[in-house]
Amino acid sequence: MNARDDMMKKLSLGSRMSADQRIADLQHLHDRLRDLSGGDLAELIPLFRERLLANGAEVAECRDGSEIAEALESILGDDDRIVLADDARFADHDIARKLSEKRETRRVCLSDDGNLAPENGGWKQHYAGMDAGITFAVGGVAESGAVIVHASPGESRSMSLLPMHHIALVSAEHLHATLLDAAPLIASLSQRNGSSAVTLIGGPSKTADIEKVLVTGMHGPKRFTVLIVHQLPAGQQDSSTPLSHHTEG
Amino acid sequence: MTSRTPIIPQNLKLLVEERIHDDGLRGNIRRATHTSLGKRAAVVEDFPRWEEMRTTAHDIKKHVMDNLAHYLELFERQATEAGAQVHFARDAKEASSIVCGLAREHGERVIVKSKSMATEEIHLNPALQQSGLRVLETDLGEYIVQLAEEPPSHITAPALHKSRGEIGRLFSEQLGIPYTDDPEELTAIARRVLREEFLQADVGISGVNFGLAESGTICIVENEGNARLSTTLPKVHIAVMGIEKLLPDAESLGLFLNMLGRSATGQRITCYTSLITGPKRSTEPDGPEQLHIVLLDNGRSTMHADPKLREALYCIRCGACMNICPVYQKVGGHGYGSVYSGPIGSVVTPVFMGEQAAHDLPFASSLCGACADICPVRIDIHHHLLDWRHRMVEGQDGPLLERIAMRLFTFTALSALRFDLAGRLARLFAPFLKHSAGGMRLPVWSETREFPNLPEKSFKQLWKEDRERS
Repeated sequence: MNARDDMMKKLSLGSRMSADQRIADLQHLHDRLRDLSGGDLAELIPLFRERLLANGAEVAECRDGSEIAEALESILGDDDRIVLADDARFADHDIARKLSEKRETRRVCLSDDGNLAPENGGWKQHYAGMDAGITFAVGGVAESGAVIVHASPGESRSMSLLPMHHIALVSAEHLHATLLDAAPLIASLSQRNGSSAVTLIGGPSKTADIEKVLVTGMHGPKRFTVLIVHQLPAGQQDSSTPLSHHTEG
Repeated sequence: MTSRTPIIPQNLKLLVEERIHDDGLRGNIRRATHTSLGKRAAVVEDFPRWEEMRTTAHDIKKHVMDNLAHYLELFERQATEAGAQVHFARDAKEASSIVCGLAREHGERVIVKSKSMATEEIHLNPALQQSGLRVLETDLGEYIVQLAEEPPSHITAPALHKSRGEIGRLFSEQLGIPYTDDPEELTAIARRVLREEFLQADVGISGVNFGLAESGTICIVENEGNARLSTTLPKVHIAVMGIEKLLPDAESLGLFLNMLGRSATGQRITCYTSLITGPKRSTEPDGPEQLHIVLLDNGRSTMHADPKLREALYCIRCGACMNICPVYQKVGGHGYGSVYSGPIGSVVTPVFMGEQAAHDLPFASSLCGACADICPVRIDIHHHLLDWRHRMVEGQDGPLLERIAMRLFTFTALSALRFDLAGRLARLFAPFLKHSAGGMRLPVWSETREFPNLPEKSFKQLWKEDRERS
């Protein structure tokens, strides 16, 4: 008997629930999970911010529109070479062009003009030489202090991993209170026709393997910044007062 | 790199003896375990209903184990449909030969590996090296113990037994760099060395923390980013996963992520939680072209068939039971001589290594129960240790003196008159056993601590007097 059938046979001897029982049992467990989750998490954004900071991330906020480019400018600081997700939203409000005025900017996927692409030999080294990667998160989890990113045609896995600084934009509307609330999103992204890599990112790469001393930038980014983008109320144009930029102590 | 010291069954007393007198080692372990426990306590407070969460986590794992064949088949089907290649391995040898075969086929330059206890369990590194392949551990702690040619001593903090000075000397000797004991500098050096290797590697090997049956997804939890690098840059990713790692779906995963980070390192969530479903899609810019998942049995189906031991399969390898264990705190992971150390290690090792080889492990516990109290999935660890003790001594006679003593005790305790008399006699003669300091003196025991004095009156006497007074 092959290994698979052998293992399955042994395990099925100890698995005796009928399909109906199993479904009912799982349903009951889901009810208990829902009961345990939630509670008073009305103020999601302050909680999200607090938890991100506690995890070692930096947090900035801005309003949708031209403020995004300004906020990114101030977050990037000295980062000269950046890689942007290939996302139509960067064309909006001229963000990509504004950022590229002062620094070397590459998009993730275009291969014809020297931009990063897997077909380009040495793409790994290219990414590794970048100072910052800017991606769009599909959601955030307030209670955990984490954002959800995923590999897609316009967004590589490496751009949030190889550069020293990772910046994730997340729309305030896409915040989830808990991991349980985010589960349907995670499940739908992880379908076989979905993304091969969905990643929850809760802070900069770090280690405490030497005497439990915390050191950031072990293998991945040393800095991780979340830019929370607030939707403008309908009809309102850009505001002149930019929102604040927080960093931990 | 030469292979690690193989872990062979050894005389447990000898291992413990060596370590218990090593003050430096004990200091390192105490610092590390207490830091983790302190951080854990702070973030568990986020959840006033933590105890109910533990019960629910326990019941979800029970549900999976009661339907393991179903969920394993579902996982296999979904992972395959997503493009992964699923392999089954009955034991360590089969698993290691599957991985070696795949690695030989694809790995010409270097194989990068992220932390995985399952690959330690199947002794993968020595097997890969025997196949002529170069394999590099990339988790900082694992990298340190690989350089030192030692096995990991803790499931989430492999180099916890080493001080910064020891690590500094090791780096200086092995990498030919000037000595430094600054954790920041040592970490930067490791990053530089390993980044170069990552960019060259053809094959990445990882473990798996959770497998989601509904989508065939593997979930890997980490802080450093080495698991993401190992599963992103090389063109082939091989994941070794114990069959007990399954969960039904993303809903249940949320609860387990909340508990794993907090229990292991006192984090609300680890820096990176990767959910990998199949290899890279053709439209995605990067990621491995092939994903192989090796499903490992190696004694797990035996545990599954045993109604009592099945509970040990609920373990999510957080390491909290080690941090809290008074025995682990004194001797560290290497003191157990097994791949999985600490309380839960002593429960599962007799299955992995055989009862004969692991005979002493269930006795290396004070049965205080702190492990069961802290376990996020409520495994009744110390009762399992007690069960193993029963199994191991069943049908065997104890030492002659012990047997005589137990017979005498039985004879005495079976009659109120005899028990009473024995108490009176003991109180009469106890003063002659007294220390100069006042405590009772017993051989061996009194070398390190005091034996409490016998009370002047028995419980029965006190009871009688109290009744008379009222």
